Amino acid sequence: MITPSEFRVNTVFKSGTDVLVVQKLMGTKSGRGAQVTKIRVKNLLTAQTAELALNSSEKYEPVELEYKKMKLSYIDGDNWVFMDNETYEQLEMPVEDMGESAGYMTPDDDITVEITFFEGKPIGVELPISIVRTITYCEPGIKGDTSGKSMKPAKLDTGIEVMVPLFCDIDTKIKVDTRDGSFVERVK
Amino acid sequence: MKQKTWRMDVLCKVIDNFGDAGLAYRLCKSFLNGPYRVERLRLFIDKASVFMALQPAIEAWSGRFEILPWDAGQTWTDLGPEAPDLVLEAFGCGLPTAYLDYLAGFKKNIVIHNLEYLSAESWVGEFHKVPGLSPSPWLRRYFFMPGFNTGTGGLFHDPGFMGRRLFWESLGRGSEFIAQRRNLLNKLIPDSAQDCPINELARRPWFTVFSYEHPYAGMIQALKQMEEPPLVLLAHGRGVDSFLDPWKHAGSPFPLLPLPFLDQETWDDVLLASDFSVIRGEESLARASLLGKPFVWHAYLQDDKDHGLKVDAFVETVLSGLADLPRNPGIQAWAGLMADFNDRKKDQSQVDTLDMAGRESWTPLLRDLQDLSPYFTALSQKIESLGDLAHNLLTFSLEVLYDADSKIQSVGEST
Repeated sequence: MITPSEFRVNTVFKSGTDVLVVQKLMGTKSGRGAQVTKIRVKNLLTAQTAELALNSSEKYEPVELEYKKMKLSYIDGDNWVFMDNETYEQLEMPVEDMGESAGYMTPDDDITVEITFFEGKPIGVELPISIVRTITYCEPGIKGDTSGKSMKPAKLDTGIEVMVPLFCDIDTKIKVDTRDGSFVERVK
Repeated sequence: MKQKTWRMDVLCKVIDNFGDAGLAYRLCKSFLNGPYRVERLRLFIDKASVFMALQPAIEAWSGRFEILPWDAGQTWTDLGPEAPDLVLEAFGCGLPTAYLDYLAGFKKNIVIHNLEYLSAESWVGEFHKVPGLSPSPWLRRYFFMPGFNTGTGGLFHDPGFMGRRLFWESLGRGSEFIAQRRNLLNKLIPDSAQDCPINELARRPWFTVFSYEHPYAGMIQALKQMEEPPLVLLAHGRGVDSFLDPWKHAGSPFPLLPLPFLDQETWDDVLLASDFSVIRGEESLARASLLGKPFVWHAYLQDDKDHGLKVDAFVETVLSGLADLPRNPGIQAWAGLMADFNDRKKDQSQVDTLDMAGRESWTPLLRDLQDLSPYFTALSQKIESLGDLAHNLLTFSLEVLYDADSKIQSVGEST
C-alpha cells in the first residue's frame, strides 16, 4: 500500500473500483502532525478528472504499470508522437494525458523520457527530475539581487510560466524541477 | 420546508490531551444544543475518560447521545441497523476500513467530513470543501476546514458560550461584574483558602495563563512592575510548574490562583471574566478568538518549527482586521511577543530556552494593553460573520446529499 506522501506525478492507484492516475501534485500542507495533500487525478476507466484532498494516514493499493523509454519525435496537433529509438516503434499520446510534462519539452530536445503504460495503454510521461530550458520573456533582471528569495514570473521556450529569481533575464538558461516546476539554478 | 433530522457519528483520537476531547465536546454541544434536529449522535473516542473528565452536561442529551470506546480491538460490527447521515472524522484521525465497510453496506448516501485542525494559514481555504476519496460511491467524503477567514468553515459558536459572552459583556466593569467575579472565585478557591481577600482579588486585573512548558521569569518580572499587578489564574496542566517556580523564586510578587481541573463551562467563564489570557492549543485558540479580548497564543510544538508558520498566519489575521489603521505600539508589541513566545523547537537545550525567553518583551505589551482591544474585537466580529461552523457544515452536507438525489430539507436557523 502507498500513502499520499509517496504519490508522484503518474502514480497510479486504486480507490474502490476506480483506477486513478496522479496528473498534478497541488501542494502538501502540514496540519498538526499529519499532512494533507491536494492532487489532480484522472480516472483511467471514465476519463474524468478531479481535484482531491487526501490525508497522509490514508493508504491505497498501487497498480502494476509498465514502462518504456522513448523520445519525443514530433507534435501533430493535440497528439504528441514518441518513438522508441531501438525498435522505431511510434506511439501517439493526447497532450491532455501528459499532464504537466507537456510544458517541459519540445521535439528538438534530445531527452529520453519514460512512458507509463496501464494495461497496454499509455497514460503518462515521466521526465528526468530536472530539465534545462531558456527564458524567453520576463521583467528585466535586478543586478545584485543574488539571494534568490524574491521571485518573478518568467516564460520558458516551451511556453509555460515558472517563478524565477529576480536576477534572471531573457535568454537565461535555467534548470527547472519537473516535479513541481520550481527553479533549481541558473545554468551557464 | 421540513427540517432535516440527522443521525451523526463522530470519530476522534486524543493526541493533545484535553484539547482534542475539548473540541469533540464543543462539537457535540453545538449539534445537540443547537437549533438542529439531531436524532442521534455517537462519539467514538479512544480515551473516553478524558472526554468524561470535562464533565459534560450529557444528562440533557439522554437518549440522543452515546459515547463509545474506540480501541485497537474494535471490530466495528454490531453498530446497529440505522445508518448515520453524516460522519465527522475529527482532525484526520483516520477511519478504519471495517468502519467504512460498515457504512458502505447500507447502500445509502452518507456524507463524511474530515474536520481538520484549525489554522489561519492561507492554504486552509484551498482545501475547504475539497472532495476526498472513499472505497464506495455511496460515501461522499470531503475536507471541511475550520478557519478565521472567508472561504473556510468558520468556528463553533455553541449557543451556551455565546450566551455566556453576552452575559459577561452586559455586566460592564461595575459592581455586578465584580460580584460575578466573586462568585467565580468562590467556586475556584479551595475551601482551605476561603479566608483570602476575595473582594480585593475580584477587583484586580485578571490574567489567565494556560500554556505548555515555558520559561516565565521574564513575564513575571514584567507583571511585578505593573502599576496594578494582576491576579494570575494558573490553569491546571503541563505549564503549571514553569510559571509557579519562577513566581516563587521572585518572592510571590502578585496573587496567583492555581486552578483545579475545570469543566468546559467554568473554564469559559474564567476566560470571559479575565482581562488578558495566555492560551495554548487549537481548542482554546478557537474559544479565545471569540472573546473579543486580547490574548497570547502558545502553539502546539511541531517538528522543524512548523508551528511558527501557523503563529505568523494568526498574527497576520489579527493585524489585517484593522489594516487601514496605523499599527499602534501595543499591537506591534503583541506581534513581536507572539513570535518570541513561540520561538522554540523540540529537544532544544535549557540554555537555548532561557536565551529565547530573554528576548520576550512583555513590558511594552502590558503598558499598552488597551491598544489591543480593537483588534481582538474586530477578530471576534470577523469570525462571527463567517457563521457558526455547525450550521455551515450541515448546510454543505445537505447540498451534498441533495446533489446525490436526496429530498432537500432545511437545516434550521443559524445561531
